[in-house]
Amino acid sequence: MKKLFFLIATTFALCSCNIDEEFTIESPKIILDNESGIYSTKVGSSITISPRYENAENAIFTWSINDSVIATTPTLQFCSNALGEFYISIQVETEVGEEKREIRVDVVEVEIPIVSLANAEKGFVLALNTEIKFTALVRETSLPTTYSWQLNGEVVSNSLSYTFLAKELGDYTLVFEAKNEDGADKIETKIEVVEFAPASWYFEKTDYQLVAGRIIEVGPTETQNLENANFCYKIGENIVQEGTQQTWMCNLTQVGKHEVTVTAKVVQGDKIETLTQAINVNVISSNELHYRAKTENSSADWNKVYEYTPAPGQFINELKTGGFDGNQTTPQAAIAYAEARLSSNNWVSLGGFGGYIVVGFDHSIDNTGGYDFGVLGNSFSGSSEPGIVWVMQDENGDGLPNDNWYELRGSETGKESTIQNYAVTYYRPNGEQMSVQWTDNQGNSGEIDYLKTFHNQDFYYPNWINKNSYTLRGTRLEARNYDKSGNGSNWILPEYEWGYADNFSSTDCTLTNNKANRFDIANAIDANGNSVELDFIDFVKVQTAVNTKSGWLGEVSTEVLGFFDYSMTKE
Amino acid sequence: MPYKIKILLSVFFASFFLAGCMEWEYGLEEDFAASGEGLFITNEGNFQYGNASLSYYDPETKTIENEIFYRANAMKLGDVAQSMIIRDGIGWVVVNNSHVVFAIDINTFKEVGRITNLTSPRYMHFISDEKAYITQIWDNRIFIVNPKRYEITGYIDCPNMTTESGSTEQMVQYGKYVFVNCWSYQNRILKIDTETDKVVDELTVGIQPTSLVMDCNNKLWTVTDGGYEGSPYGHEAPSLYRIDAETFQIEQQFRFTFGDAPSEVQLNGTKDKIYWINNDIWEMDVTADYLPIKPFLPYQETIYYGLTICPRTGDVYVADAIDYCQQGKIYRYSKDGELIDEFYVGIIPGAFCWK
Repeated sequence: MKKLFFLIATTFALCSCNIDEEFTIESPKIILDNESGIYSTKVGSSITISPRYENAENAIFTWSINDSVIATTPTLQFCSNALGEFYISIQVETEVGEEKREIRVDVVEVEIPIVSLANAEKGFVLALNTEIKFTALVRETSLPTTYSWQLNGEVVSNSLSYTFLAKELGDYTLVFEAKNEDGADKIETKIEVVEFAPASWYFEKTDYQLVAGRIIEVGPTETQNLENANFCYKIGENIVQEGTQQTWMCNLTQVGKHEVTVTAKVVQGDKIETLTQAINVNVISSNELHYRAKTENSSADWNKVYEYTPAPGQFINELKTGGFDGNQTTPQAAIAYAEARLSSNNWVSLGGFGGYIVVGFDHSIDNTGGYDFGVLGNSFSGSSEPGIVWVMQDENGDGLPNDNWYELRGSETGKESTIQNYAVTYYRPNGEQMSVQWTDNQGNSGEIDYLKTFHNQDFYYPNWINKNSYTLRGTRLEARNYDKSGNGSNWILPEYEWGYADNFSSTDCTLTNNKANRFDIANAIDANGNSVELDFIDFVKVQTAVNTKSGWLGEVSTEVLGFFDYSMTKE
Repeated sequence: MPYKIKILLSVFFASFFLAGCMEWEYGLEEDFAASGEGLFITNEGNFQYGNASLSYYDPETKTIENEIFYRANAMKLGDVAQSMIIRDGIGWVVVNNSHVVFAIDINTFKEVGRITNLTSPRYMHFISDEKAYITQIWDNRIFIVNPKRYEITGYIDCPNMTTESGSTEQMVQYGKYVFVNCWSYQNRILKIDTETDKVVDELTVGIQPTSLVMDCNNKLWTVTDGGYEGSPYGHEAPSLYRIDAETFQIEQQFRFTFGDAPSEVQLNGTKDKIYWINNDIWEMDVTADYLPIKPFLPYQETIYYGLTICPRTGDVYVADAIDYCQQGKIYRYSKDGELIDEFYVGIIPGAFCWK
């Protein structure tokens, strides 16, 4: 650093001290108002950079970008309508010297909050004297944000949640708004309060196939306001089941096609509402099954992925550790992704509860009386993320997994805490980098958390699912994860005894590899929970079994790395 | 860093029992004679998969040999190879989740001994031919070992740590004192008297100091990662610290932007420049008054996981873990930032050791 020395005498004429002193007038010095030298501003917004200067009397200030002068003042007002990093130099020059520093201004996007509300598009119909709790989802920003709920224009809450009481009949407009200094976003939904909420049902399928001698569950997949309805299943005029049980455990044995009519009647005040649906059941003989024997060219490994439909999760659409490349925007591309991953012994994440993958083999897998096939996961002690395993025979011989799934019994089957026909609906968030809301068929709701620090892809909601919401169904196990540390730092995911994929089981992990769980086809059960005899199977499905998350680790999600015919292994 | 721990620490394993065709499962010992200069790369592998490995790179010929431990010894290295140091022709490979440190001949790569029964070893530092320290995670003790006899001879109790929150990491020595950074859910640098094997002082820095080096001016450098969002230990803007080894006082704190997660402070051969990873690769003179604003190597949308500088040429080697599943990659740059070479190593290359 340049230094000049001057003997100053006159300056100190008034000084009580009579000793002449030697003073140094130093070169100017720049002390930035941001220690890192890296500033940040929003696109289109002005930022003032105000360094502090020492020894800068009568200095010349020069701010420049790429040697082009942009200002000659001590402070700089900088604004850009383009995103990016701008390198700016500030030079301070006096008659005794100069100093130059370079700073960086990062021009970033504005942080307008984005809001989502599950089912907002569809609206809500409520019966009189009932209530509903709304919880909005707001994209996190670094700015203080305020919330407001307005019911027919009147502010009724300033928190993220609002509980609406259906006290009077009529139509209501509910608006949620989030606002910060960068902007605001709002979402609107309609609420209709009626005397009696309308009854409705949904059938995932109405054409069934049944192998004579087995049982399948037929009927509506979802119902609304039919809790007290009378359901009547008829074949022709013959009533096969009647009562409040919504589905029918169909056990027809006569080979051929059967037309079933199901009617639901519900009394609402002095009205009776009736719903009717036709169902077809095609009963086939077990002699018609299409067994595909092994050949010398058969492979022990899975040979095809038929479907990959994960729940939202931190590894879904993820470009680094998840192995996606951004082109997985169709179900076919998602299948290709899953096949490529499994082919390279890499994991495929099924996301939160219900996410699943369906694979097949180049031959039927025999029910050998012991373990018949294996599923590779990535569990280890204290880290089990169980998946329910389902099996299917290619009953109609068309080579596609469009027949009946049978769950494989596990250690939790039949327990009170295990829920069959559990369903979770996931809702696409309205903006990037947001959590994903879900509701289940037990009246619960929650979020798959967006973990920006670790997985910052735009969406955790699968890019190849076009609908703005989708429902995943299956069997739900009670979660066992817990925080061992007590402060949220050390999450343990204990194993389950046996019968699940991606589970560090001391019972069914293979002898040579504790990452592979083995499964016995003889554990197949029907919808009643009774054993079903399957001599072989053709397809395997694994479905994430728990609906839980572990603090900063995020949602618990089953991962699979492969499927194999155990009878063809060396073990 | 916390990717979902299960994925981060695990995944990828070869074709298990269907494959009896694992690349190195022929059980033969291969002879190596790697005289001359070279670079060892410890590849962590996936937690609990036992697929850690050791690679060796010859900068002169630009040749890489992977799986050298297995090939030389017909034995797997183990689970999570964490670090390696060399002393008097012997390489000491710390294999964290196998609770072992292997001693190997650095030319033949053959095992000459091992120290076992370690809790969860991270780094090793020699005090003398007959005494070394081995830091641990999930243990509040630093192990004292006799390398000649491959024996644990004692422990250094680290204050204000439980077994669960125990974390001691990298060590540097100034005179008779060894300094060690405490990383996981910690915020301290400990000072150990090597004559008494006691912690005699400690210095609080920011949340989670990741690494520790000492420059040509006897200044310690550590960089904190600041924790992470949702961490019970807190989340703050990380900092780079310059600490005077003599006074054990912080001389300067360089603050990063909140949300940054720097790591891997390294020195060049003359110890007058430091490097670190903060998405990009950064370089700074040890006398600098402020942090650089332009990276030495820009971020490549991948996972930079390890870093070293050749002490002789100043070449910069960057380890890319890619996705924590496939074989990682090493990029070698000149000290001016020009790409010289790139090559694949094992899964999750994390640390380097110059021969």
